[in-house]
Amino acid sequence: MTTKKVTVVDYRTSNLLSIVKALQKVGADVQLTRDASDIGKADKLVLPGVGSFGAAMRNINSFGIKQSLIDFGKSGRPLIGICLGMQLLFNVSFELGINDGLGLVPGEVVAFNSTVKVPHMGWNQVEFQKKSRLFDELPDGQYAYFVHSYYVKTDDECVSGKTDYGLRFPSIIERENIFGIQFHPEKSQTFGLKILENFLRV
Amino acid sequence: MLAKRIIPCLDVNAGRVVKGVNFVNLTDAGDPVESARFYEREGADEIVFLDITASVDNRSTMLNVVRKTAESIFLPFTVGGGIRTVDDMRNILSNGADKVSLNTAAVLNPGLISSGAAEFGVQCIVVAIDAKRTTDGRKGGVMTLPAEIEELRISPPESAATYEVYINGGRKPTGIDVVKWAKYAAAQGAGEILLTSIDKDGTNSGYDVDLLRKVTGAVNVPVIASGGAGTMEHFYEAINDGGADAVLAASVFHFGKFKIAEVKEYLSKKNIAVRL
Repeated sequence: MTTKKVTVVDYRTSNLLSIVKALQKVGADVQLTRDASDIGKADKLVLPGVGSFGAAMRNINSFGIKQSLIDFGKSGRPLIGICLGMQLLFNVSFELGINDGLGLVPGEVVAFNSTVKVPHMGWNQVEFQKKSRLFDELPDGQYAYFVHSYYVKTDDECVSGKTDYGLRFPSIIERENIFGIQFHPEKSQTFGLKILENFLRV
Repeated sequence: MLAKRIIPCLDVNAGRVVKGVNFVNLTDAGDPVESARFYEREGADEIVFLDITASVDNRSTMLNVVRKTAESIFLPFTVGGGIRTVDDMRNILSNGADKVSLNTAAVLNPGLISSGAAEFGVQCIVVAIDAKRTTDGRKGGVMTLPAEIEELRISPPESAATYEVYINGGRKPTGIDVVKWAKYAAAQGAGEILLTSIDKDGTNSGYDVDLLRKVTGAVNVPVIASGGAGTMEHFYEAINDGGADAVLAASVFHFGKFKIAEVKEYLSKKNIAVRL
């Protein structure tokens, strides 16, 4: 496997270690940064995240990297947001107040309604909606590990994968060079690792 | 469809698994990391480590275990035992654990639940409850409770089947009503409840379905059933009758009574969604 350079944004989110070792497992040469110029020079960018949307955006703002993330997303180079990192790609979130996101993908982040247990926690299936470079050599309907209380509402044309939890919500989104996955690939065994490997090949 | 989870639990003392996996050819059956890898291969949906180390000196040993586990498995895992502060939580989570489980410390300092949830998100915070059936309509013991949870005391007279929260590894009764405590914990930011029946634990006679039903009916967060697994039917009962979202077991897996894959096959045939 050839080594592929990937830059992971370290804005103080607690699952960084797991993401990094998962990327390394599939052959990535990982660089961690919270520096705008490193982000600007990256070949491929991973935006991880757990915790709350507002706190994450505050960290991103306090490190002065919001604009560099937006610029990177518009540069055409591959960007993937994972879990909260995916939600940050959207316009706005209604988690604990109203917070603006990066606005790279149209849509908003909303709460599950009270007919289901929240958080949505555990293994659930991802149903492919269209062909995607992330799905190379992967069968449809595989289980992935989810932990989240909010989900994204977006245009169907941006949705590559859906998952059923009271409603069928977008679990994988894609818009040109920008990808987002709601589940945790670093905790989803071979399925998750393969998605990351496919991202390295984009 | 969201799958019901099967979770093996490993007790760790000073960095070594106790009562560990003793039926396979692991190079070192006492090594928690190797045991975790074994269960990952076996199809576990998550792993729980319970650190039963008495000495505070050995905390760094557990952090080392957490880090090595995170580097070795691509599966979520939870760490419980001896977590008393937000800093303790941060140490465990930043070393790669996905969730921390609070038990005694949450009762003695209920604010820990909300401060942990605010800092790390509710998805990281499991509140573990050790529950024991009480039939004497007790007045809630004599333990002094933090003022904010005084109202969660079992209020006599209660009907026969009330459950009391125990702390300190199941040794100390608190007088707290389990259902009220579970609701309070969830409202404060527990993203999951790990519910152990002290009466059933170690008996292999089945989970306490009545206890499970009471708690799963009262909270809107996932509940993990623990204590009493002895047959595959027991897992089914906990899920189907008790409403559990996940089932935890130790000895039946460690001693190889059956494999996780066998339990999943069994549940799947009974129309329970599992990750095969």
